[in-house]
Amino acid sequence: MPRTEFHAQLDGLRGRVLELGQLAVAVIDRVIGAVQEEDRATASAIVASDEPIDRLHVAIQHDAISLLARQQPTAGDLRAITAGMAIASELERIADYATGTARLILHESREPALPPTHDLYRMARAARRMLQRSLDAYATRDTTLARHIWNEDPAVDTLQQTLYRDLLTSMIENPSTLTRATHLLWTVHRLERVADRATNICEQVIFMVDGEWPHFDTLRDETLIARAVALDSED
Amino acid sequence: MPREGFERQLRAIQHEILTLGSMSAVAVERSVTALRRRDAALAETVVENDGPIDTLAYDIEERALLIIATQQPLAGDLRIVASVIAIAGELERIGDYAEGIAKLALLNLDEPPIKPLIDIPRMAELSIDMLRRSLDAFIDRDTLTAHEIWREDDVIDDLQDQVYREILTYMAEDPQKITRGTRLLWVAHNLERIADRVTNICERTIFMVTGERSQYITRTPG
Repeated sequence: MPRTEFHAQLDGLRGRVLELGQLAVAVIDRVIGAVQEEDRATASAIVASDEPIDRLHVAIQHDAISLLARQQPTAGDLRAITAGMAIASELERIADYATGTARLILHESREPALPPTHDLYRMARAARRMLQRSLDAYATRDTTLARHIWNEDPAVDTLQQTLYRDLLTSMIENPSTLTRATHLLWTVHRLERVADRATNICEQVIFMVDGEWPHFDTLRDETLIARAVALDSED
Repeated sequence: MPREGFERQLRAIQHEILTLGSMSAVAVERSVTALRRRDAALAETVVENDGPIDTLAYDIEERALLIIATQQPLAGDLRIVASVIAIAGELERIGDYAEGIAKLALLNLDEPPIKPLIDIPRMAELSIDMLRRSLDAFIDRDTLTAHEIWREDDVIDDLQDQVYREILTYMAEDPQKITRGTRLLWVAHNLERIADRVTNICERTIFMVTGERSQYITRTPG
């Protein structure tokens, strides 16, 4: 395959990964809305949308591997292909978290309502922002942005711990909403996983561009972390 | 590289998959034993051994990608190498779930157990058996067994429902049991996820052998 055609295919791969990325962002948005409104119709639609997302993921993996097999890639090309595969994997699992959350909305419960707290929506917004911006970093090969997003994760972890504590307290004080509280625990867990996977995407971007796997010590930046926490509490 | 060199490389990474599979299976086994026996040392071992599992998984992946890039395998051979990559990923995540169970076991040591564990060890026993057999099926290219194992996932899902209902009852009856109960719910969740990943391995084997995309069956996502 001539190099120019190969590069066109590399661009195509990146484009499909970004397409998958937008599907993941969209489904996260929709599921948060569905949690807020207890919207079973949207929850059903989200569950149904999981299969097309899986199929796109499989297609991307297939294309990437075919690309690898058809031409001797340079080191940079190889990293671009493997990063695309790894990121697609993260995105498919992020979409799975949304589907899992949607399934819980569909569970019948005779318990009184237990509205999610403001903190949950803050956490959802933070995770969603991390996801979108990690994809932006991938699209533009922006390692500075990737590093910034990576450092937004500790703030999300803190929110998770707060929410866990609050939910466990609520479970002890209000056994009448025990099952609903358990569902919210899962939702909090999944949001933390979304944020964590967004940091994985950031690591892949840095590896792809710099050629070296970024280490925890070089990534972690207390100033950036503090800034993310401050911004987050302004919500 | 001559054909025999390629064959050797292919056999070698498939062998590594068996090694990785064994490490993950042992991790699951030990993590639930640690929970059952309230064995902190055993739980710590599982947590420590997750690093080597991750390292081996990445190693296998890297080598597989290099084979693809340098050997340019086609069709059936390409599917084998691609399957190795996917399966290594599943096994690495199974290892992560085992580590999660070990950490939960450690947390629950602070207080006495809220109930004797019966269904959770049963879930573990079944999942581990499914895991070992799924890797044999992969090596043997045995789509029949792969399909059988895939169907056994329903048993695990039913057990999980049972565990949930039972533990929620304990939690509702006695608020003191809520924190410990919640951790057991996570353990059951992790075991269900492990079995789910085993079904992914089975799907991979079926796809690898038949080469047909239509055989790809999606499962309940987590």
